[in-house]
Amino acid sequence: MRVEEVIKAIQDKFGLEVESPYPRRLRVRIPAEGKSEEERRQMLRDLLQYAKEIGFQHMSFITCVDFIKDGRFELNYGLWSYTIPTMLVVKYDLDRENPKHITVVDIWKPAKTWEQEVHEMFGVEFDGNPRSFEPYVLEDWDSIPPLRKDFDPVQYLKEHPMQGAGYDPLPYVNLVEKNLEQPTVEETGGDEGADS
Amino acid sequence: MVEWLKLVDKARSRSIWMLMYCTGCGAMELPPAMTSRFDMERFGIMPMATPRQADVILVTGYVTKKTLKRIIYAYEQMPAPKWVVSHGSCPINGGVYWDSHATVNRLDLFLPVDLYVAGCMPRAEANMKMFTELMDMIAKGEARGWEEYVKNRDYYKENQRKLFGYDLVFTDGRSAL
Ligand code: SF4
Repeated sequence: MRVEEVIKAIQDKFGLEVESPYPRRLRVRIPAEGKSEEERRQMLRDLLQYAKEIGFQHMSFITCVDFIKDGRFELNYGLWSYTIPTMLVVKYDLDRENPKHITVVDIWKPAKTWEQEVHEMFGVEFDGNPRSFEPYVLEDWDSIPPLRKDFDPVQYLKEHPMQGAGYDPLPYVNLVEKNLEQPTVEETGGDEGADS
Repeated sequence: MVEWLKLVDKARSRSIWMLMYCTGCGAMELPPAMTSRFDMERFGIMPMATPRQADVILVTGYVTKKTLKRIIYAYEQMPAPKWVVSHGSCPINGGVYWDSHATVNRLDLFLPVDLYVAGCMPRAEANMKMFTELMDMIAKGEARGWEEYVKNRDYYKENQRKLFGYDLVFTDGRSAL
């Protein structure tokens, strides 16, 4: 298939406008108005399924963008084709207050990991992907998801002074008096240091 | 006894094995230091695969909270004498990542650092300078961070506990990782 044919096929089948901002890139947005949540989700899944059928072999990413002023998250599904060769990005808007969504794992397997990451960094819940609720890279995270725009890193570091210590606007900590006397070689016998 | 140990220190300074454990971007500058142009092996410095055989741990860049656990874990496995080199601006005070939610700004609160190399990132020349400096310090018996870690165990363990929120337990076979 050629790029023009892809654009035409998607327009005919789904009635969606396909932009081509620059060569080898195509963008489709699932419209937010005039449709129920169910229909939009179904449309997204159909589109991703259809893209797979017409020759997009590889899911490169699912990312999320936080548009805090508009009160929405924008999910981007990136599909790459080696044969066309073009990147197709499908955009889907989510309500920021209640970011619930469905998984596409049954269509694209790599989504398992991408959804896990988006869940950890933005708090979007992907119904049907159990792994998306497990931690991805952060351990013992105790605050709102860190890539949301209303997350304030400096405030976070002020609340976690051990982590933030050492930089000017952040508090300097020194908790226990340190014993600065250097031990002599005789004291340690030269080979002490197995500390566990 | 003391004279003899000085000789040992001298010998140690000429066979530094470094743990191949790299964090952050600074590791980029180690391959040039290893390969033919700078050739650090002429000083007896070579990479080593496991912490139990290594003498020096290079922290080559930003330290995330998650990585720091692994660094401490590796450091405590290393046999003494052992040295820590903090490489780049990030482990000194956070560098460009000072306000990141993931990184820990000061490494020396959690591990005894023997030598700092400033720069973002330090070039291979700086690395070579660092290695020769470290050799000098070891030969003169100045790099004694590992003894400081034993002497100030409370200080370091308290800081680690404050950072992670719990004790890192390695001694009884259980791992906190
Ligand atoms: S000091 Fe610079 S080069 Fe080194 S880890 Fe930090 S940002 Fe990267």
